[in-house]
Amino acid sequence: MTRREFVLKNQLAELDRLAEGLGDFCLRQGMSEEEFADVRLAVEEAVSNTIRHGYEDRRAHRIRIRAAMKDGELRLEIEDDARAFNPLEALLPELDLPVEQKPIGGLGITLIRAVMDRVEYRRSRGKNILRLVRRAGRK
Amino acid sequence: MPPKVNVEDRAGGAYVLLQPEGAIDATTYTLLGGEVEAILKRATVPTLIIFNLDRVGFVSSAGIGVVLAAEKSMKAKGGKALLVNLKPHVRKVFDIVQALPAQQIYNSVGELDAYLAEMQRQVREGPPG
Repeated sequence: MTRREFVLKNQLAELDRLAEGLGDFCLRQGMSEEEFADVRLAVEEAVSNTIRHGYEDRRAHRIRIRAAMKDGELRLEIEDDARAFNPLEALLPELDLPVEQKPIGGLGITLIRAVMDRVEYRRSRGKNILRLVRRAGRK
Repeated sequence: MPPKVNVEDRAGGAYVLLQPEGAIDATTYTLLGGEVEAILKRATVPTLIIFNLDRVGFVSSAGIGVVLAAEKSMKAKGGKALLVNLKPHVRKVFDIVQALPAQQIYNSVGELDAYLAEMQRQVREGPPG
Protein backbone atom coordinates (compact mmCIF):
# COMPACT_ATOMS: atom_id res chain seq x y z
CA MET A 1 0.00 0.00 0.00
CA THR A 2 1.34 3.44 -0.92
CA ARG A 3 0.56 6.32 1.41
CA ARG A 4 1.07 10.05 1.59
CA GLU A 5 0.08 12.58 4.23
CA PHE A 6 -0.54 16.29 3.77
CA VAL A 7 -0.79 18.72 6.67
CA LEU A 8 -2.42 22.06 6.00
CA LYS A 9 -3.04 25.21 7.99
CA ASN A 10 -6.67 26.31 8.10
CA GLN A 11 -6.16 28.81 5.28
CA LEU A 12 -7.74 28.65 1.83
CA ALA A 13 -4.40 29.54 0.24
CA GLU A 14 -3.21 26.06 1.28
CA LEU A 15 -5.61 24.41 -1.19
CA ASP A 16 -3.30 24.98 -4.18
CA ARG A 17 -0.45 23.15 -2.45
CA LEU A 18 -2.80 20.32 -1.54
CA ALA A 19 -4.08 20.01 -5.12
CA GLU A 20 -0.51 19.87 -6.41
CA GLY A 21 0.61 17.21 -3.94
CA LEU A 22 -2.52 15.13 -4.25
CA GLY A 23 -2.31 15.34 -8.05
CA ASP A 24 1.24 14.07 -7.97
CA PHE A 25 0.20 11.18 -5.71
CA CYS A 26 -2.91 10.18 -7.71
CA LEU A 27 -1.23 10.32 -11.11
CA ARG A 28 1.78 8.31 -9.85
CA GLN A 29 -0.70 5.70 -8.62
CA GLY A 30 -2.11 5.39 -12.14
CA MET A 31 -5.27 7.44 -11.82
CA SER A 32 -6.29 9.42 -14.90
CA GLU A 33 -6.45 13.23 -15.02
CA GLU A 34 -10.24 12.92 -15.08
CA GLU A 35 -10.25 10.73 -11.96
CA PHE A 36 -7.88 13.10 -10.20
CA ALA A 37 -10.20 16.01 -11.05
CA ASP A 38 -12.99 14.17 -9.17
CA VAL A 39 -10.68 13.55 -6.20
CA ARG A 40 -9.50 17.17 -6.16
CA LEU A 41 -13.11 18.34 -6.29
CA ALA A 42 -14.21 16.19 -3.34
CA VAL A 43 -11.21 17.04 -1.16
CA GLU A 44 -11.36 20.71 -1.96
CA GLU A 45 -15.07 20.89 -1.17
CA ALA A 46 -14.56 19.13 2.16
CA VAL A 47 -11.47 21.07 3.24
CA SER A 48 -12.68 24.50 2.09
CA ASN A 49 -15.97 23.91 3.93
CA THR A 50 -14.04 23.15 7.13
CA ILE A 51 -11.80 26.21 6.74
CA ARG A 52 -14.68 28.57 5.97
CA HIS A 53 -17.29 27.32 8.41
CA GLY A 54 -15.72 24.94 10.89
CA TYR A 55 -13.81 27.11 13.34
CA GLU A 56 -15.23 29.36 16.01
CA ASP A 57 -11.92 30.99 16.91
CA ARG A 58 -9.20 32.71 14.90
CA ARG A 59 -6.39 30.45 16.00
CA ALA A 60 -4.24 28.41 13.64
CA HIS A 61 -5.44 24.81 13.24
CA ARG A 62 -4.07 21.88 11.32
CA ILE A 63 -5.97 19.72 8.86
CA ARG A 64 -4.49 16.34 8.01
CA ILE A 65 -5.23 14.57 4.74
CA ARG A 66 -4.04 10.98 4.49
CA ALA A 67 -4.09 9.35 1.06
CA ALA A 68 -3.54 5.65 0.44
CA MET A 69 -3.93 3.48 -2.64
CA LYS A 70 -4.92 -0.11 -1.89
CA ASP A 71 -6.65 -2.79 -3.94
CA GLY A 72 -7.34 -0.33 -6.75
CA GLU A 73 -9.02 2.15 -4.43
CA LEU A 74 -7.89 5.58 -3.42
CA ARG A 75 -8.70 5.98 0.28
CA LEU A 76 -8.60 9.44 1.77
CA GLU A 77 -9.01 10.52 5.38
CA ILE A 78 -9.51 14.16 6.22
CA GLU A 79 -9.02 14.89 9.92
CA ASP A 80 -9.68 18.25 11.54
CA ASP A 81 -10.41 19.68 14.98
CA ALA A 82 -13.21 21.94 13.77
CA ARG A 83 -16.66 21.79 15.36
CA ALA A 84 -18.48 18.51 14.79
CA PHE A 85 -20.00 18.32 11.33
CA ASN A 86 -21.31 15.18 9.70
CA PRO A 87 -21.82 15.93 6.00
CA LEU A 88 -23.85 12.75 5.66
CA GLU A 89 -26.51 14.25 7.91
CA ALA A 90 -26.62 17.59 6.11
CA LEU A 91 -29.77 18.31 4.12
CA LEU A 92 -28.97 18.11 0.42
CA PRO A 93 -30.22 21.04 -1.63
CA GLU A 94 -33.03 20.48 -4.11
CA LEU A 95 -31.49 20.81 -7.54
CA ASP A 96 -34.46 20.72 -9.87
CA LEU A 97 -35.90 24.06 -8.80
CA PRO A 98 -36.38 27.14 -11.01
CA VAL A 99 -33.28 29.32 -10.96
CA GLU A 100 -34.92 31.93 -8.69
CA GLN A 101 -35.24 29.30 -5.94
CA LYS A 102 -32.05 27.39 -6.59
CA PRO A 103 -29.69 27.30 -3.62
CA ILE A 104 -26.19 28.70 -4.10
CA GLY A 105 -24.79 27.14 -0.93
CA GLY A 106 -24.68 23.49 0.08
CA LEU A 107 -23.66 22.20 -3.34
CA GLY A 108 -20.28 20.96 -2.15
CA ILE A 109 -21.71 17.99 -0.29
CA THR A 110 -23.79 17.02 -3.33
CA LEU A 111 -20.61 17.10 -5.41
CA ILE A 112 -18.60 15.03 -2.91
CA ARG A 113 -21.26 12.33 -2.84
CA ALA A 114 -21.58 12.31 -6.64
CA VAL A 115 -17.89 11.83 -7.44
CA MET A 116 -16.86 9.48 -4.62
CA ASP A 117 -17.78 5.80 -4.33
CA ARG A 118 -18.02 5.87 -0.53
CA VAL A 119 -18.22 8.66 2.03
CA GLU A 120 -18.01 7.84 5.73
CA TYR A 121 -17.85 10.08 8.78
CA ARG A 122 -16.94 9.62 12.41
CA ARG A 123 -16.20 11.90 15.33
CA SER A 124 -13.32 10.69 17.44
CA ARG A 125 -11.43 12.39 20.29
CA GLY A 126 -12.77 15.83 19.38
CA LYS A 127 -11.94 15.43 15.71
CA ASN A 128 -13.97 15.08 12.53
CA ILE A 129 -12.73 12.23 10.38
CA LEU A 130 -14.15 12.12 6.89
CA ARG A 131 -13.28 9.08 4.82
CA LEU A 132 -13.59 9.27 1.04
CA VAL A 133 -13.09 6.27 -1.21
CA ARG A 134 -12.77 6.36 -4.96
CA ARG A 135 -12.16 3.27 -7.13
CA ALA A 136 -9.49 3.81 -9.75
CA GLY A 137 -10.76 3.05 -13.24
CA ARG A 138 -14.40 3.74 -12.38
CA LYS A 139 -16.47 4.52 -15.46
CA MET B 1 -1.08 29.96 -13.76
CA PRO B 2 -2.37 32.93 -11.74
CA PRO B 3 -6.14 33.48 -12.08
CA LYS B 4 -7.16 36.14 -14.54
CA VAL B 5 -10.44 37.22 -16.15
CA ASN B 6 -10.73 38.92 -19.55
CA VAL B 7 -13.85 41.05 -19.97
CA GLU B 8 -15.06 41.95 -23.44
CA ASP B 9 -18.13 43.98 -24.40
CA ARG B 10 -19.85 42.84 -27.58
CA ALA B 11 -22.64 44.20 -29.78
CA GLY B 12 -22.27 47.68 -28.30
CA GLY B 13 -22.51 46.39 -24.72
CA ALA B 14 -25.62 44.26 -25.35
CA TYR B 15 -23.68 41.31 -24.03
CA VAL B 16 -20.47 40.79 -22.12
CA LEU B 17 -18.06 37.93 -22.59
CA LEU B 18 -16.13 36.86 -19.48
CA GLN B 19 -13.14 34.60 -20.07
CA PRO B 20 -11.52 33.41 -16.83
CA GLU B 21 -8.27 31.46 -16.80
CA GLY B 22 -7.08 28.69 -14.48
CA ALA B 23 -9.16 27.19 -11.69
CA ILE B 24 -12.36 28.75 -10.33
CA ASP B 25 -12.34 27.50 -6.77
CA ALA B 26 -12.60 28.64 -3.17
CA THR B 27 -9.47 30.77 -3.48
CA THR B 28 -10.16 32.42 -6.87
CA TYR B 29 -13.94 32.73 -7.27
CA THR B 30 -14.04 36.25 -5.82
CA LEU B 31 -12.11 37.55 -8.84
CA LEU B 32 -14.78 36.30 -11.26
CA GLY B 33 -17.56 37.26 -8.85
CA GLY B 34 -16.16 40.81 -8.66
CA GLU B 35 -16.28 41.16 -12.44
CA VAL B 36 -19.89 39.95 -12.49
CA GLU B 37 -20.84 42.43 -9.75
CA ALA B 38 -19.21 45.29 -11.67
CA ILE B 39 -21.23 44.39 -14.78
CA LEU B 40 -24.46 44.24 -12.79
CA LYS B 41 -23.76 47.72 -11.38
CA ARG B 42 -23.46 49.32 -14.82
CA ALA B 43 -25.96 52.03 -15.74
CA THR B 44 -27.07 49.81 -18.62
CA VAL B 45 -26.94 46.14 -17.72
CA PRO B 46 -26.27 43.85 -20.72
CA THR B 47 -28.85 41.32 -21.87
CA LEU B 48 -26.40 38.45 -21.59
CA ILE B 49 -23.38 37.55 -19.51
CA ILE B 50 -21.45 34.85 -21.34
CA PHE B 51 -18.88 32.78 -19.47
CA ASN B 52 -16.35 31.39 -21.95
CA LEU B 53 -14.65 28.63 -19.94
CA ASP B 54 -12.22 27.35 -22.56
CA ARG B 55 -9.26 28.28 -20.35
CA VAL B 56 -10.74 26.86 -17.13
CA GLY B 57 -9.46 23.43 -16.14
CA PHE B 58 -11.20 23.07 -12.79
CA VAL B 59 -14.32 24.42 -11.16
CA SER B 60 -15.66 23.80 -7.65
CA SER B 61 -18.95 24.73 -6.01
CA ALA B 62 -17.53 28.20 -5.36
CA GLY B 63 -17.28 28.77 -9.13
CA ILE B 64 -20.73 27.30 -9.70
CA GLY B 65 -22.02 29.80 -7.12
CA VAL B 66 -20.70 32.74 -9.17
CA VAL B 67 -22.50 31.53 -12.31
CA LEU B 68 -25.71 30.77 -10.41
CA ALA B 69 -25.70 34.19 -8.73
CA ALA B 70 -25.12 35.82 -12.13
CA GLU B 71 -28.03 33.88 -13.64
CA LYS B 72 -30.35 34.83 -10.76
CA SER B 73 -29.46 38.54 -11.03
CA MET B 74 -29.65 38.56 -14.82
CA LYS B 75 -33.00 36.81 -14.86
CA ALA B 76 -34.39 39.39 -12.42
CA LYS B 77 -33.34 42.07 -14.93
CA GLY B 78 -34.77 40.25 -17.95
CA GLY B 79 -31.45 38.81 -19.14
CA LYS B 80 -29.57 35.56 -18.64
CA ALA B 81 -26.19 33.93 -18.20
CA LEU B 82 -24.75 31.54 -20.78
CA LEU B 83 -21.85 29.12 -20.66
CA VAL B 84 -19.64 28.14 -23.58
CA ASN B 85 -16.63 25.91 -24.20
CA LEU B 86 -16.70 23.79 -21.05
CA LYS B 87 -14.01 21.13 -20.70
CA PRO B 88 -15.49 17.69 -19.92
CA HIS B 89 -14.85 17.74 -16.16
CA VAL B 90 -16.09 21.31 -15.80
CA ARG B 91 -19.25 20.32 -17.70
CA LYS B 92 -19.65 17.32 -15.40
CA VAL B 93 -19.60 19.54 -12.31
CA PHE B 94 -22.22 21.93 -13.76
CA ASP B 95 -24.36 18.93 -14.78
CA ILE B 96 -24.22 17.26 -11.33
CA VAL B 97 -25.73 20.29 -9.63
CA GLN B 98 -27.99 21.17 -12.59
CA ALA B 99 -26.67 24.72 -12.43
CA LEU B 100 -28.07 25.96 -15.73
CA PRO B 101 -30.58 24.52 -18.21
CA ALA B 102 -28.93 22.69 -21.13
CA GLN B 103 -30.21 25.39 -23.53
CA GLN B 104 -27.90 27.88 -21.81
CA ILE B 105 -24.76 25.79 -22.31
CA TYR B 106 -23.00 25.90 -25.70
CA ASN B 107 -20.30 23.56 -26.92
CA SER B 108 -18.47 26.11 -29.03
CA VAL B 109 -18.26 29.79 -29.84
CA GLY B 110 -19.62 28.93 -33.32
CA GLU B 111 -22.77 27.42 -31.81
CA LEU B 112 -23.13 30.41 -29.49
CA ASP B 113 -22.61 32.89 -32.35
CA ALA B 114 -25.42 31.22 -34.32
CA TYR B 115 -27.72 31.67 -31.30
CA LEU B 116 -26.69 35.31 -30.89
CA ALA B 117 -27.18 36.04 -34.62
CA GLU B 118 -30.69 34.56 -34.41
CA MET B 119 -31.43 36.61 -31.29
CA GLN B 120 -30.30 39.82 -33.01
CA ARG B 121 -32.35 38.93 -36.10
CA GLN B 122 -35.44 38.49 -33.92
CA VAL B 123 -34.84 41.89 -32.30
CA ARG B 124 -34.68 43.48 -35.79
CA GLU B 125 -37.49 41.55 -37.50
CA GLY B 126 -39.60 40.06 -34.69
CA PRO B 127 -39.97 36.35 -33.83
CA PRO B 128 -40.40 33.78 -36.64
CA GLY B 129 -43.92 32.87 -37.80
